[in-house]
Amino acid sequence: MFRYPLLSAILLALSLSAATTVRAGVDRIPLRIEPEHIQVGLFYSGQNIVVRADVPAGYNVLLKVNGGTQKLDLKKKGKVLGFLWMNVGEVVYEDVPVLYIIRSSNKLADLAPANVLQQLGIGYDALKAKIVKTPGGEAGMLFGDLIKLKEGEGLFNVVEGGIGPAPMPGGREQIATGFLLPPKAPVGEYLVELYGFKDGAGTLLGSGSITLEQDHLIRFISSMVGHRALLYGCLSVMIAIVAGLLTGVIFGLGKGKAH
Amino acid sequence: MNLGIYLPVAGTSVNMFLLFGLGGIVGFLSGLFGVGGGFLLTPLLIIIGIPPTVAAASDSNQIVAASASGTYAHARGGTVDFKMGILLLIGGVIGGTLGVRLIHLLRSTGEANFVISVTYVIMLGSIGSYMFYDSLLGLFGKTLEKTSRGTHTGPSTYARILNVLPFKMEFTRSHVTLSAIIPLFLGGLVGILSAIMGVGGGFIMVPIMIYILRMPMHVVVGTSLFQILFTCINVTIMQAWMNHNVDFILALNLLFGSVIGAQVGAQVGKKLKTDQLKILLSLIVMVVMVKMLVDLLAAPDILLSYKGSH
Repeated sequence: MFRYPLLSAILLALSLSAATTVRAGVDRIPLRIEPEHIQVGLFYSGQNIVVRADVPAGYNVLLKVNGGTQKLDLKKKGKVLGFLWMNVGEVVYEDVPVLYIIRSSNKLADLAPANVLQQLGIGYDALKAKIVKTPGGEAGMLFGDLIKLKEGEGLFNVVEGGIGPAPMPGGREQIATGFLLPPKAPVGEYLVELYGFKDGAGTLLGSGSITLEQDHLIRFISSMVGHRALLYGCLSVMIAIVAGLLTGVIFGLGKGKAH
Repeated sequence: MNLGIYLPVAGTSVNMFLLFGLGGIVGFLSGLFGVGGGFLLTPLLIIIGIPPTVAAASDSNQIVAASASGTYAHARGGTVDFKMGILLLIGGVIGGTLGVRLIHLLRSTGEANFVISVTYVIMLGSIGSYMFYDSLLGLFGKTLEKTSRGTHTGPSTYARILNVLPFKMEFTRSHVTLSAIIPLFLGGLVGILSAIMGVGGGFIMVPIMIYILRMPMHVVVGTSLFQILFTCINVTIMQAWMNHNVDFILALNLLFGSVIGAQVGAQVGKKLKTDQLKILLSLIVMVVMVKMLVDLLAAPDILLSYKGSH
């Protein structure tokens, strides 16, 4: 480490800064997440989730929900011949969260300085810093469009100022907030984190998880699609033909003999 | 009551009555005009949040149901020319294979998107406006053939070419005698265009049957559906097998609407005059063309999209 004194000094300064802006975790408080386990069945159309917790008084709070990350290979539209909008290339983003939901008691800018939020991965600016390696490049310039795309699917959603803590006896406050786990959220485990902010510093107050899994029928269909693809294709066609002919016969019977 | 239904391959949930309704509209058009309806349904599915590749593949699956239903209805009425349909189908398979190779070549030169978009707009624009003009003339008791022929009484160049070609066949259902080369060649041409444009090609095939093969309109619809049925069976199986993109739950919801729509469309079609059918189809084709043109000219809200979308 001492071979690079300038680098060492910068790292030390950053560490000290982090120590003062992101506080060491206090005793973790339990989060009451309802429901924690969700089955994706044939009539699944997303799930409303409610998170409750009793937090020490005096904190501004923020709830962050995210899952694993994915690489996204997207098409980019641009002008051709100066007037035609067409797909003109591709943009690749690495480490894009599959889900990114934020609920907070205040505006993000009022909770803590930008560097603190960035360290905690809170807000779209923090996401951009994590995902985009060269901010001046194409991926950086189109980052706003990536957010719009994801927000359109309900997978990214940031609501600032929605949580109102209610006072409780014993110097604590109860918080409750909700969000929709959209139907496009892939199966898997999602991390739910509750942060507290005081005096410009952020603390992880508690965390929990949500598990999203397929039920037997959906798992069976997914397995057919992936592992018995040819059989699945043939069955799909056969059922379509039978349905088509059956309807034809029913309609034909209704009208008697065709001319 | 929760009306959403989860689509395991699309990975999202959609209102089942919305799918039923969309299927019904497209099935109605299919039964009425003999088009598959993919050019209309796939963009609609993308708009309601289905991933583009899944929308296109599952659409093919539901077209199998709609075209089976429509073909059955037309076959009962004796308005399917199976001989012509098989020749067009053979040409279509050969043309489709060539078209896929052509697209592969264009993609390697980076010109594919430009060629696809421009081909789409030109094809739709020219077919739509020609049909519209011709059917307008027809409604007023004239045809393009009569107006363009003028005082000339001998056989047209087109008729002379038809007469010299070998392998003549009689197509009794269509009341035409043609060289087998003609439907094979035209089927191949539509196959190439379909592969380039990524659609079934019914809305190109139907005008070709009317204006070049000179088949009666009601036989055109049934024969087109017969051909589309086999094209979409092939596409569905290949998409499921190679790309895992067919969402059967999505297709099933669509086909409930489309098979009924196809039957209603076939019945309505029998009550309409040929020129009325042609003018309606030409309007739909031109609406799709205008929509594509607007997409090309208007600045999009989001500059990024998932792969597989237009």
